[in-house]
Amino acid sequence: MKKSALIGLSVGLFLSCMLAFFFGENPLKVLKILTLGFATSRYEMGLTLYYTTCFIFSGLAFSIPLRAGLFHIGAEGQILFSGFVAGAFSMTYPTSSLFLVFFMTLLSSVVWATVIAFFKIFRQAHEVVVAIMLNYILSILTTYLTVQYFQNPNSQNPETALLSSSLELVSIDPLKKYFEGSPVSVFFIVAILTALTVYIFEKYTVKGLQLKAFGANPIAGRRIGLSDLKMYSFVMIAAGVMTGLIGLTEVFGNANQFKVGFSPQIGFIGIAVSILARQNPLGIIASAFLFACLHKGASDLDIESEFLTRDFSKVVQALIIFSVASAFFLAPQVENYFRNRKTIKSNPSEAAK
Amino acid sequence: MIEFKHLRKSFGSCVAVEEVSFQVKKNSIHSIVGENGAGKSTLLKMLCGLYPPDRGEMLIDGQSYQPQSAQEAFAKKIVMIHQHFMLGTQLTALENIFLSQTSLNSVYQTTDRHGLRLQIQTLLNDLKWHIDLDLPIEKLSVGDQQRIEIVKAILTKPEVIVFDEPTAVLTPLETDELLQFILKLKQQGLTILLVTHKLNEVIKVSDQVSVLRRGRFVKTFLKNEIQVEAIAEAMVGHHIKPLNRTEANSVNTILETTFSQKTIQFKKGEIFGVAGVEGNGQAQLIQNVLTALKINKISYGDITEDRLHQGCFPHLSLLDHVVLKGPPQFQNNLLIKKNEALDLTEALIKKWDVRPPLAQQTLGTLSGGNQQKFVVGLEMSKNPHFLIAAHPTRGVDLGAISFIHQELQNFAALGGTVLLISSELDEVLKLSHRYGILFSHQLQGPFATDELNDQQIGQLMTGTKDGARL
Repeated sequence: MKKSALIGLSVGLFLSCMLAFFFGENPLKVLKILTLGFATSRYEMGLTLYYTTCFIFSGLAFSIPLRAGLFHIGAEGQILFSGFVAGAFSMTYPTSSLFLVFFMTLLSSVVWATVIAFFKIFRQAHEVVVAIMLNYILSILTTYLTVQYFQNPNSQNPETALLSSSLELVSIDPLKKYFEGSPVSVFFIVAILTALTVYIFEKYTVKGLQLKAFGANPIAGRRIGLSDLKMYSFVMIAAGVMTGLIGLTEVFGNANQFKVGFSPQIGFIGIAVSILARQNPLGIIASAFLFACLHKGASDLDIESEFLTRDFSKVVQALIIFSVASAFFLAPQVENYFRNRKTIKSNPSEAAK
Repeated sequence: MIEFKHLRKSFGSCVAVEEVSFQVKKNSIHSIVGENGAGKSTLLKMLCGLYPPDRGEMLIDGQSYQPQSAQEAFAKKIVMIHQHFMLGTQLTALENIFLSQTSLNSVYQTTDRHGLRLQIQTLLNDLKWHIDLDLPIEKLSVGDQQRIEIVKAILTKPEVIVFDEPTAVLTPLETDELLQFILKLKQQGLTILLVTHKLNEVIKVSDQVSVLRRGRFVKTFLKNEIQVEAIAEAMVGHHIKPLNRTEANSVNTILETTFSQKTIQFKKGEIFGVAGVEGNGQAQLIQNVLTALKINKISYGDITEDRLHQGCFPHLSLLDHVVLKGPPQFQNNLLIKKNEALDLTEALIKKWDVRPPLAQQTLGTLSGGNQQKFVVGLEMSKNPHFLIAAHPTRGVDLGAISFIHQELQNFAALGGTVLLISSELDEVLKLSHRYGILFSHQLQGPFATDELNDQQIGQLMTGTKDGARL
């Protein structure tokens, strides 16, 4: 399985090179910009790791519900809302404890995630429709609330006020110092630990196995006593925590405030990250890093290449997803083909039968 | 006369038929029997031109016969009545027959619809069958659908008719009528090939019985040699132990449930059978019993009616199934008890002879029979007080059937209660201490095993006579 992912990755990169060549660029240069952009300085590296952090969380926010059979694409709205709550709550209660702010932030995204689950369980509404509509609702709602009630008095931009010094974490962040004050923060370590925890949960606990079974065959799952209510709300609460952590990463690890439109569609990129990793939490770490490199490299394309714009990065992402996905289906067949040829060569009479 | 000589057919690495050679005499009823996967269907499909054989040949009246398509088989006057009827369910009976006629002629030739209707009516009158030709197929009973298939076949004036499992969906009464009809066809000079796994029927009508086992030809029994025990042994390859039947000795009711305004009492140590054609309320009955079991907090095993959809997770391993569905000690735990689950899985694989014997393989890769053996074994390994066994032997070979039957008997003898739901009437009659019959969401009975004769059972199964009691 891992082999086929690597094959797919190289095929995808090869196709991207061909395309770059077609557009009159040096393919190797484009590849270098896209993939090695993170290694140019510690700051760039930190930026890449910041994206990695967000993509790990959003990848998990998609993969956990999918285990139970829910196609959760509502992460984007929840990310915005949790970021807004983190900013607005600490602006309103600047002296409250850090724990309370964190709790309220996670709670806010969990609430919206469970809204999707409840529509699914009690109204049989399809989760994709509810989630997609919620994305718009939450995006507009956060903008409205920010501008109307929580606007930063010292700025023209739509954003909340900076965190009070008692709540601020950025200045004491150990990772930030090493990476020259780039957006990366301790939340990167939290993300890795979370992915590991999810991995252990899915592989070694009964509950994890039940989720997997329920997702694979809900009818048989219900027959052995796993209810929709238990399964769906469990995964959606977990997904809500993941999206809430992205809000925290942004507000407490990077910006010190909530800025309207801070997320470059982190929630949607999470879907690609998760699909590329085939919902394996450890794979999500790797694929989140890959997407972070491409995402980071995209902005460099504008500056450093002659004919390509940042959109080319999207094309590369698409090609990689496409080839990795097809590699999973094609690799076994290709393997079989070669195995059969081998048996024919070694033992013609056996193969003829 | 049809002769098979050294026939062989394989699909990839799987050999379906190998070295099959025997003769079918003209104007006789020749049965072909064998377990699931013995190669019966493959053999027939080669005869009817659907598959070409890899090796060997077929002879008809001494001449080589190599059909390339079903049309060529038609030309040789060979027709097949498929197990799954080839009828358009939305079309009327007449339209279906009409379609089969047009496909034989050229596209440009028109068939005289009115003339065809008269022709069919005459045929139906001769046979004393009363079928409304203008009803859509889905409104006809299964027996009548089969008759339409037969009419379709007879209209082509065949010399050989091949029946593939014709009695699988019929009630005992309909089965008897069909067998009588087959005898009549023989009197008219036709050759009949009858494929089935129900040996009792074979014995009644066959002139010869050929046995296939795992794709190979075993033996042809002549008329005077035909005996159920001998044929069964040839099919399985070893002696089958007769069922060791124990009588229910307890009168204590363990569970009471209502179904269609009727109260059913399940007693300790008994097998309560439910016969009836599928889709007559079995699912609802099981649901009611499940609810009652949960309310009364009685431990139960649940062999579901539809294995793939309700009973298992095809992408998970056998080991995972033990953790998910096995004894409660596995579920009431945070972490998966892998070693204990592995022990139990391997014990199950050994006891129930699941092949291939690998605990980590996904259940979906097993054959249907092996899946069923594993599922039945797993449900019984929980040592429940109550066992819902819906079609417990579906898709399982003869040897395993007798093993499952014996296990169910032993389970009841040790004080367990079994609700046995099966569309195989023989199975219900053989195992049950009491049984009911489901028709159209009504349960008739319960009856003692020797209380009704076949005719009465058939009437209750088809709702032709009200036998309400209790």
